[in-house]
Amino acid sequence: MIRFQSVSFTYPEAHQPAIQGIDLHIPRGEFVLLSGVSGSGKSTLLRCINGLVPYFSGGVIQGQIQVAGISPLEAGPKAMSQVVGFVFQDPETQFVYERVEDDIAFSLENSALPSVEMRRRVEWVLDLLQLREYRKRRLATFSGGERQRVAIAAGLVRHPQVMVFDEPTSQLDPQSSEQVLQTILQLHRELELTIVLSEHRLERVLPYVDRIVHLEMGQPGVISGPPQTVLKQIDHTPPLISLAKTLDWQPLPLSLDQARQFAREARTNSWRLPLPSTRNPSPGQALRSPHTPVMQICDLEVDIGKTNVLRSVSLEIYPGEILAIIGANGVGKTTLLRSLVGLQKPARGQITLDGKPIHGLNPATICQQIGYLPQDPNALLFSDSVRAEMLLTLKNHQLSQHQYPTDALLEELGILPLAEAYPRDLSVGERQRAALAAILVTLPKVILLDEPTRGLDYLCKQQLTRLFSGWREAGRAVVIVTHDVELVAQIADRVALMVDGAIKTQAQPAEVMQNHPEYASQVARLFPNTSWVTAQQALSEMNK
Amino acid sequence: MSANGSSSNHSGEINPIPWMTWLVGVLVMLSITRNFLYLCLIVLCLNMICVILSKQTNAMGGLISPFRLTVMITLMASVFNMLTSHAGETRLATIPGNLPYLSGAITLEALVYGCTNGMVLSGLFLSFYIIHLVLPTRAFLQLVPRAYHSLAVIAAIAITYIPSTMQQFHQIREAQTIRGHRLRRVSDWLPLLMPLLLSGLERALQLAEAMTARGFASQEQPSSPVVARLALVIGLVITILGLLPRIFPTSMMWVGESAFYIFKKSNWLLVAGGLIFASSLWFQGSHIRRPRYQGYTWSIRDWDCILAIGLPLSIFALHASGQYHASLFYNPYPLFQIPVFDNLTGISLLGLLGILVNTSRDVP
Repeated sequence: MIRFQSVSFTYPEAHQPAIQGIDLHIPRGEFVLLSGVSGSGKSTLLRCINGLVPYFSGGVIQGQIQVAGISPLEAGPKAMSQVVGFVFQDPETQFVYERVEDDIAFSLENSALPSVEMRRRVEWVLDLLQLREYRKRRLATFSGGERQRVAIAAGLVRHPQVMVFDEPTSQLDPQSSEQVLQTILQLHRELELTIVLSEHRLERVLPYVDRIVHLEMGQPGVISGPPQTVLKQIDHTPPLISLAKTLDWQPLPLSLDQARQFAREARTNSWRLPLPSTRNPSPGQALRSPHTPVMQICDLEVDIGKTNVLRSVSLEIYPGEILAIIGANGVGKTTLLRSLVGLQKPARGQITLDGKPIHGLNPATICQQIGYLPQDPNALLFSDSVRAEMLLTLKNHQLSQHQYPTDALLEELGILPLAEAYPRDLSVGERQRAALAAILVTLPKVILLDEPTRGLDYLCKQQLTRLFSGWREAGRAVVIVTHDVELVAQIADRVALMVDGAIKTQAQPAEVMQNHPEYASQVARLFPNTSWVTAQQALSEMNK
Repeated sequence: MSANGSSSNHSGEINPIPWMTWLVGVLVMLSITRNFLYLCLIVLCLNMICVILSKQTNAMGGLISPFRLTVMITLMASVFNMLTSHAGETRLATIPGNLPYLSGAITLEALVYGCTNGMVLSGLFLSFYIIHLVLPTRAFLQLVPRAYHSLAVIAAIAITYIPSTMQQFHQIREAQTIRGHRLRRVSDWLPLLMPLLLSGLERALQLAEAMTARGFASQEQPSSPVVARLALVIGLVITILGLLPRIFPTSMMWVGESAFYIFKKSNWLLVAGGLIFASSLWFQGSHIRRPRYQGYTWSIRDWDCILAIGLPLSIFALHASGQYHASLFYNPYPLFQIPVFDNLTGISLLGLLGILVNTSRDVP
């Protein structure tokens, strides 16, 4: 169905090719996962399939591509839209009309199909994706998962033979991700579609795919084959795979169901751990004292319009601690962070920093002591260089650059060589760290991070994790809002689970993951009656 | 009756034609009268419609309310006119000195005239906003000639970019605030413009890429005959010629008295130009195969809407040339007097609210 022969592509004004020497054959009806670190060329390869590269991007392409017998290089993306449906990372950027039904029909009107045929296809796709009851609704009122389903419907309505997904679950919570993946799987099974999907969080997709195509950064060609074969050759893999590779479980389990048998055997052979947690306290936890919270939130209530978004939230944040706030999309996690820096005015309740209420202070003043990284770092970055971003923050706060050494922070963040680079030209992970540099240059004592690992690969996540641990050891308080349960398992000292605008529970990660399996890490689900949440914990306990 | 001849009708959809007719009617009335009593009534009706529709659609959450917007625009226009226009006989105060434009008498007449202009402006804004609340983007496109569908889609996207740009501006302002940026002076706004511009360009590129991937303009259409395109230009030129003497009644004398007379009396120029223009559009569209996903049906409520706008508009038209001419074309200069208020006209203006009968079917 899809064939690449010696394909290389270089973007305009780029010195290095984005993809190089790609030889690939994907048969009809196969479900393929495209993996690789940020910047390895995944999106470029996906866009070659429907001709957006090079028609839309410009640049130089070599080699030959055939998709369903058509060459996208000759036909171009408009013609390829008949055979390739494309779902982008952020569905919002691909909607043209504001209502479900209208947007789905957009592609059909472009095809100039007879009205009767349009209606038939729209009805079919509405039924297939269970969107019938939402057909008249405005897309703005939809959740992330629902929007992604509409985007899939819009891509599918032209009856393509190939569906391409560019990180479709990167912005979704675990439940919504699962729903979207189940939808894709259903399409794959029922319609025998060829599916090519790129994703960083491999653990979400691995159980479903027939094959992995892995791109190595800066290396020509791809590693392609059945998941078990390819995963053995990749360094950065999901926790379950890391555990299985270390313990030499054969064949390599791709899902928890496949791994359970191995886990049971290992368990009966060696150990059984009682609750509560045996996890060693982190160095930062030693600093934590119930009497010295750096921030206190008492009975916080926030209303947006007529909606009560936060309901009686009480929370204490301690120095030298990483607190993870988890919960489904739309439960008020981001609103809580915004309240802590004064961007959202509370209706009731009090927030104190070092014992002093922040009520009435300008957010700009509060942010000198509380660093807040919003979800989209692009909104922060617009100076000519990373260093200029930091100097601008200091200038805004009327602080001397001599008292706040910028190079030390850049070194700590691992981007000192990029100090003079244009921030918007950086990779996703580098941009995230550049944004961190811009907000942390004032050395705030509390750091609030909203989805810091969104769209990051395992390598970038590891680098960030080390960074967060360093801050904890330096006695800073770190609050992370995230959907990434593996990150929570790896780094959080305490987890607050939010449900419907309220904190439902606060406890150590192992306890929360045991009581709420929907937010459990792979290892926690694999060993349900233990306090282990990461592969490292499991391995170290087994060695004992 | 199907609005576009499409075989697929959706009885649940709001037909855009009555709403657009209503919009045109409101615009005509707003541009005809300068009687602030009538304008007050029109703006009041528009405010009421805005509030009701906003509640139905949950729109305008967090944004400025229609009433506050009306007050703001009217206030700004009043102050501006009061400070810059010094005509009128009822002197309220005087700005001393030789300040350009500002120094001179502040008069009641200038205040009233400014207030009137402010109400017209807010009326224009509210009427467009009402249409935006009720009709989805696709409904607008149904009204665009088929030959220009692609252009219309792009224009529609450009319009929908305004709210998303406002939202983006809000995000960027917050992002800069958390870096300590404060808005104290005009120059403090400059750092917000660059990221807004950059993110706007990025979003435009992303959308363009998505539209290409979804086959936008993938259907090759035959180009229109040269004659049809030429007729379009000719129709436009004739219409402009018909409009010129109305826009610049005195400065047309250079064409000579007899020619000016022809121009001045030539309403037929407008009609002929409009007809040629419309025929050309229709002819070009007839060559384009563009089936539409949904058509619209006419119901009794659509006729109610036409009636709702038709009644006040007819009375306005009658009065424009009748005995109440002065009540419509009120001018506060040189000496302020309360304008004439005709009860029948006033009551008929409440008919504007009649459009609300057409919202219960399906406000999106």
